Amino acid sequence: MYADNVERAVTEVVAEISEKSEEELWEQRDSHLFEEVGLDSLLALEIVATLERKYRIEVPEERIVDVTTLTAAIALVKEMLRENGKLEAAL
Amino acid sequence: MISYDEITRLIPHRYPFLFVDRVLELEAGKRIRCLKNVTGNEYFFPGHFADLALMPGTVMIEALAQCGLLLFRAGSPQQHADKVFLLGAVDARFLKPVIPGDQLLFEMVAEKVISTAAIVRGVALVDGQPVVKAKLTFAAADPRGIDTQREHRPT
Repeated sequence: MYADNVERAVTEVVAEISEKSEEELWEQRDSHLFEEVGLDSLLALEIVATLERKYRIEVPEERIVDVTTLTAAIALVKEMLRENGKLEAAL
Repeated sequence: MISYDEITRLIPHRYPFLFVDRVLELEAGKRIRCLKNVTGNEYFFPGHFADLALMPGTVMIEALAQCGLLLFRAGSPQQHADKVFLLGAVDARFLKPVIPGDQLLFEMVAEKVISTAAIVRGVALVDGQPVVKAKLTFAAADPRGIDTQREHRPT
């Protein structure tokens, strides 16, 4: 179901932190990740921090609010990897 | 070194819920080492437990969170002066019981810090041995935005 390794790895990370199954997450990858208003930013922060460690990237603070859906999280990681010239290797 | 009195100017916690006695080393936003002397006079020992005084794990988590908050706030104490601080996630492992007479040394490092929140990771040591390891996520929140009213709904 995944087109590349980044999609798979980001889904694994988001699934673990949001306590959802990977299958369910992938099916609803364009849906809003968090229901609890106010907790969004902390869960997004955890997801971003884990992805930063995994891919050795640095996500600017103002971009963390972009992590509202799984699709957005994957796009953000790919953008950061592309900027660092590491996207091809990660795919 | 940061004294107990100075700590009360950096975080809003007070007796009986301030569990850091001294900051030994601090690199604002990066790492911190703190001290807590555990005495038999701690208010929680008569209840935890009456016949066996053990420091509650929840209190050790709170102590680690306060160290993390000091790490977060020390660099810019004016920022968030009107905020309260809430834990969002705790991942912890308790390794050994802590008893009266123990000296807790907390060593925390920042994993990710942004202007409104942080993820910190650390360990509490007694005599060089780890007693608790934890990863904590917390955020600064506007107290006016926190709903403290509950409508009673009989079930």
